[in-house]
Amino acid sequence: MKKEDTVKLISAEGFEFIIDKKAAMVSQTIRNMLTSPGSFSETEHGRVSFPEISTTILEKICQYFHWSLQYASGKETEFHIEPELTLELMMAANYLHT
Amino acid sequence: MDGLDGGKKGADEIGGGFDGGVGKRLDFDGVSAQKRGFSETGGDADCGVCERWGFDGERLDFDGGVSERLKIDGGVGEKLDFVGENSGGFSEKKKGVDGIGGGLDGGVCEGVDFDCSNSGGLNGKNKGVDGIGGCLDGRVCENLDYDGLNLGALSGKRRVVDEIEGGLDGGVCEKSDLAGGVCEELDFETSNAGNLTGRKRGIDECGGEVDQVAGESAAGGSRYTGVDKGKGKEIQPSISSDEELELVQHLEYFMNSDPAPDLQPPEIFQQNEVGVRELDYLNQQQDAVLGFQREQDYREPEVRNEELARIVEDDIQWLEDRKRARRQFALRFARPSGEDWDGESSASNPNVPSTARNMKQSDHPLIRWKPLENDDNIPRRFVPSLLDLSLTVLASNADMILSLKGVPDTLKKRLCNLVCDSRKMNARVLDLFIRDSPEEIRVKDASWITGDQFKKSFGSFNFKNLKVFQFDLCGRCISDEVIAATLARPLSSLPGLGIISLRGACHLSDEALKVLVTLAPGLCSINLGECSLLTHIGINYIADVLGNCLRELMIDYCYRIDAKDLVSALKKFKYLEVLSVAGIPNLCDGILTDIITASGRNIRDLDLTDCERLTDSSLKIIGQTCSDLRALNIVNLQNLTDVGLSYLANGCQSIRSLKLGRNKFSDEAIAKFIEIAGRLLEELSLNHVSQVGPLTALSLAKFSQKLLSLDLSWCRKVTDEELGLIVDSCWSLKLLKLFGCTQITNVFLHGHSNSLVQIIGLDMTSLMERAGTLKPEAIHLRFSPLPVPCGSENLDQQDV
Repeated sequence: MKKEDTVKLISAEGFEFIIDKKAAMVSQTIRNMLTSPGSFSETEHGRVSFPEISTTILEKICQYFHWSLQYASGKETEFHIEPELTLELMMAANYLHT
Repeated sequence: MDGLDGGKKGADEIGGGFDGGVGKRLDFDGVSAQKRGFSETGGDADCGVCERWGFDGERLDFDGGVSERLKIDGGVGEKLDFVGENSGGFSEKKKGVDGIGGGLDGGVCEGVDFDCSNSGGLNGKNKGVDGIGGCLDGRVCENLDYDGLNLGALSGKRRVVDEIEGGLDGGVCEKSDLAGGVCEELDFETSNAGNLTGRKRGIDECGGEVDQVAGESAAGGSRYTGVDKGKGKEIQPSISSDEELELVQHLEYFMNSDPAPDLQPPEIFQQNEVGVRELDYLNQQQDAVLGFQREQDYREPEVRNEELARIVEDDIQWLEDRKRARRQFALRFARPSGEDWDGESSASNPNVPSTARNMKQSDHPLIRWKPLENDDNIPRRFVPSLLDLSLTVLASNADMILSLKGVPDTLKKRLCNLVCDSRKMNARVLDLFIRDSPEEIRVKDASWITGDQFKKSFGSFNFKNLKVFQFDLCGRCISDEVIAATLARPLSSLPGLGIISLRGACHLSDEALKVLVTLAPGLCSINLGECSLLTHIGINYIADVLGNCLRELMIDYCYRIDAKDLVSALKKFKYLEVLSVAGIPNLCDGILTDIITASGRNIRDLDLTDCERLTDSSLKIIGQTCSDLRALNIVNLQNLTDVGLSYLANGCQSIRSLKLGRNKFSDEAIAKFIEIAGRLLEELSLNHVSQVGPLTALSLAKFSQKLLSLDLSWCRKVTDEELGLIVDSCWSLKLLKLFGCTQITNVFLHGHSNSLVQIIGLDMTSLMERAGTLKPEAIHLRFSPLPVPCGSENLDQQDV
């Protein structure tokens, strides 16, 4: 994957998740950050940090991005969420508008 | 009229509310208004027999945007005279008579005289008689006089008769077109126009405005919506004070001349003994204060005066022409009110451009829609959002949640709804939501909770902060005793409670209701649907205590309340915005008329489901009074006909949500309704309205761009093509219900290109998932902010 096609999502603990830009755009918030005019530092450096989102949650979110792309292209599978994560995941999803 | 100056819109005061006395002639006669209580009445224009004038002070901006609400309903007024002094005042910056046009319902008007001396003044900056045309329903009008004296002056710069034409309803011409046929009679021929304006084209736009339903003229369209009027054609203003003086002279001339009997200035005017000087003063005041800018002063004063002199002469001639014309017009187009307007009667009159006829002729090529060529044949699908997914999981594991701290309120609400829907609600989960003294408690299904559990959960609950309490389907738990032990326990009060909903509280008696209402004086919204023990005594009590502040009252299906007893109570509410009287036994036209005329002015949401005795006259009164109606539910009213729908179309043009069902409306009627009043529609239900067909589909596709939800269940005449057209034209459409429409095939399902729309009802899949998440839930009251209760410490109130 070329560098231009990826974004780096950074969790609260500092873990960095490098994912495809297209996948990250599933989140409306990230999409706005990366594509709106005016210079967000995120746009320039291609990295977005989320100091309130923990690593496990952010990992799950990245998994959701990829699942969502798959689903839209036809492959309908089930996205399983562990109950323990659900509450925080819900709030992160609300924040990310995804 | 002091209101004229001070930078206020002239008709500001007027708008307050005209009382035309016995309403023989309503003069917007600046002077009269000054003297009389055109300004004083304030409340409502009661023109005697005229229904509603709609010059609400605050709404009368004569702004394009607001003009939609301006409705001069001639009602049974004999003569509507816009003896424009006041109009003059209007013009400030806005279209002078703009709004007037908004809804001029000639109705049973004998003569509508736009004696324009004022209109002249109108001109200020905008189209003088702009709006008048908007919606002039000449239906039963004998005389439509655009006595150009004023108009002439009006024309200062613009097309005067411009808009008049815009929406002259020749009776069968719905309203959007200056029926070409009507034109003939009405003598808005350029000769008049020519005279009118000296500089402008008179009926310039006349042709342009003719709206054929087959949808050709894009610029046309109904003049009824404020949206249209709002987007005014920019007209450069300017009338110099010289001109104003001229106008005054015109007025004088007009006043002193010997007019035909029906042009005689009204008694009211004469009584007031207006002097020309006062008019002059008023005009100049306007000028001074409103600061007319004369950037378009492209003529020398001499030339202007000269022209005006010429105009005066022409005007007299024009007057004569008008009179002749209107007699002919009246003869041709006068028809008794109540007659079917949707086109059938026009068949006999070949000159009248019948929209319906046009439609029928071009019926076959009407809908041309081809499905998308899609080889894959993959049905479109939604990707469920992570939020939805996690909410679902959370709801199904609600028992395991330890705490909902930190969760935003919107999510809490959604979660609560989901938990109730999945029947996983119990006392423990409820506790999660009522911990920490929240401001809102919304439980949409409380059928699981017993009285004892309720007492336990709420026995020590601190109600001080509570603003919203919704506990629907609470028949099992809410009884007088439980109320006494929880909400109404000793030393308790509900100071901040603004919204309460106890639907289905079948053990709640009038006494307990009284206690509740006493404890919560700040209540603005009460929902007591299906509380079968309540009688009119309880409602009377509410009316006595909360008459001045209650905004929403829902008492549907309380079958012990008889409509006759309800009238006196409902009349006491002054600011009612939402009213539901669905299923109230014996609700008939007379009672509804009483209620609406007394307290229905501000009503925005009206639910009349199952009140089967209602007929078209109810719709008439609703159309006349409730000009700001946003939501209407008339499901199962079998006695309504197309005529009723026409009244509604004329009067309620900002309607956003319309629920029809099992009504006997015809395809053309609904199509026409949508065209006239359906531009802001977001939610439309035509469930079981079996006549719906191609015309409605075409109308929807053309005019309802904001549509979010459409229900065409059991409309078996709708075809694949029509549905495809609708769905592909209404890009906002999110939900389409098609229960019982087995005639719809994959041609539509796989051939439409709208990726947002959810179609439910055909194969019973994904039924409930998104059915309820269409609109954001009302946070507090639906149409007003929740008032801050006095003495409450809750300072960080969130108002909608």
